[in-house]
Amino acid sequence: MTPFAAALALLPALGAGIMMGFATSKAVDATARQPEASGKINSILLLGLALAESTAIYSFVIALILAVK
Amino acid sequence: MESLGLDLSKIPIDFLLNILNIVLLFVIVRSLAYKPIRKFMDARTARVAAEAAKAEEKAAEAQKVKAEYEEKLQNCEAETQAHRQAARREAEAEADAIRAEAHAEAQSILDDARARAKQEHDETLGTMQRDVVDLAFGISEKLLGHSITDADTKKMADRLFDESLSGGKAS
Amino acid sequence: MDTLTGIKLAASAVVFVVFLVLWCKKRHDTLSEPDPKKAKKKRRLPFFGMVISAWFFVACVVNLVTGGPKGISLELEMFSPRVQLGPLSVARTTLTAYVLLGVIAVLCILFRLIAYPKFKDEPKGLQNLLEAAVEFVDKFVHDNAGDLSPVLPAYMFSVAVLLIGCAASELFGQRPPTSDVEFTLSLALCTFYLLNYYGVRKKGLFGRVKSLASPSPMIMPMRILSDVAAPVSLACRLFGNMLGGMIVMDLLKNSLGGYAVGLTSLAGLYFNLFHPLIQTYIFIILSLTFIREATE
Repeated sequence: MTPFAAALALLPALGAGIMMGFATSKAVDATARQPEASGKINSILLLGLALAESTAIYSFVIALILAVK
Repeated sequence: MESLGLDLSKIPIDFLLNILNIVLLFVIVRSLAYKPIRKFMDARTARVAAEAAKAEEKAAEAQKVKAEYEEKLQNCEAETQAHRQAARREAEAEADAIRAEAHAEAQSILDDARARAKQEHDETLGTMQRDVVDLAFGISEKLLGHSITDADTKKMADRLFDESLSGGKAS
Repeated sequence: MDTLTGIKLAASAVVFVVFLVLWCKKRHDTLSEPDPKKAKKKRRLPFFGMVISAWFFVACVVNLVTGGPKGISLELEMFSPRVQLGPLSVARTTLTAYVLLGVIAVLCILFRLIAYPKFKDEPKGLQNLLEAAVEFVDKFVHDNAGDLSPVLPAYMFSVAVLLIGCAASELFGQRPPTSDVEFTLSLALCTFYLLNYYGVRKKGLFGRVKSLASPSPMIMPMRILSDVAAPVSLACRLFGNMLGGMIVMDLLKNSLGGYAVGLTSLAGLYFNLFHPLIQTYIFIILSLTFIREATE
């Protein structure tokens, strides 16, 4: 059962991946509209991506904890 | 350690060691790398700023010197202009004087010449009058066949002259 | 040494020699070529053949020595193995981090003694790199957290040096300290200390407590929880990313065996260079954001 639980724990990575794609597409839109603000958009995007990624990272850590021991 | 009843392996010693590691690294990197680089860059920035200020000062000085020069140049020009004006005025006055003198001389020469011409004219006229009178005498004596008395002669000659003169004038 | 390995070795050696001869011939032919680029283009095919056959030969030799690929299997431990040092039981990654500290200290001393006195007004080479890094970190900290103190950029600079050094330690076959949750949690605790320190210094102890209870006192437990979650999230993010990268690299190495010669370095460009740099950036920007939030 434990491997199954670990695989299930990785499900949040799906949402994180989709939403990171969304955020990136919006950032590309914003950069295309305002190329001069690209530096600021870039840093905000990275911050948002890091925060969104943390979901996937939590799920990954939990899966590891389940799978390894 | 055991006497204190402390089991060191139970304490999360890794946290302490890691934090100590980070603090040590921070101190080393800051004192040996970060601060010197920062100081060097700040010193360079300050030096560049000082040099820029100096350059600005020098530029201002040069501007001042240039303005001074320009003023001097202007003064020189004005002086030269004044000199030239004065010289021209002097020369003009001189020229005027010379011209006036020449004029006067010319006038005097002209007057002289005119007076002489008049005198000559008068002389010639007198001579011619006498000649004409003599000639008329000769002719009239020939015509009359006798000599004319002085009185007659005088009267006739006068009349003739008067007529000829007035006739000449009338024509 | 079975027959298959022998055939592989011999075949790759023969192919290598053939391509070498071809390359030499092409080189001789194109010696009179006036355009060196064109000559290089003509030599390209035998050159690649040479490289690939050489790679295959080396991979076969490595397989022979190490016993070939182990298949897709990985013995992974969440926590690094422990070493007994007198009365203390210390994680190996902690020792790696101390070795790293020593290396960085030696490099710093060398820099201070040798490179620093040679600094000139016009930066060049190493000086250019260091100046750009210091300038970048200074500006970055200033933009993200304001002018709190001159210590903060220095701390962030040293954290960046440490994280990049950790990534580099993986290249020397060590388990990177950042793939140990205790190390990343220590880093995050330092950030936590800094954000509380600056928060209290800027607003006073009472102001800090008041800002935690800012909309209403009811929400205070939630605010405290989210503040405590900040270092946990920082630590888990760094740990998860680094461990993930390490697992991918280990899997690649284990599953390819000897064939991993040269290929892992290509993958390492992403997993050992780009990824740690991005994570360093994110760790620092998140730390600065938390600190700014605490001081605002």
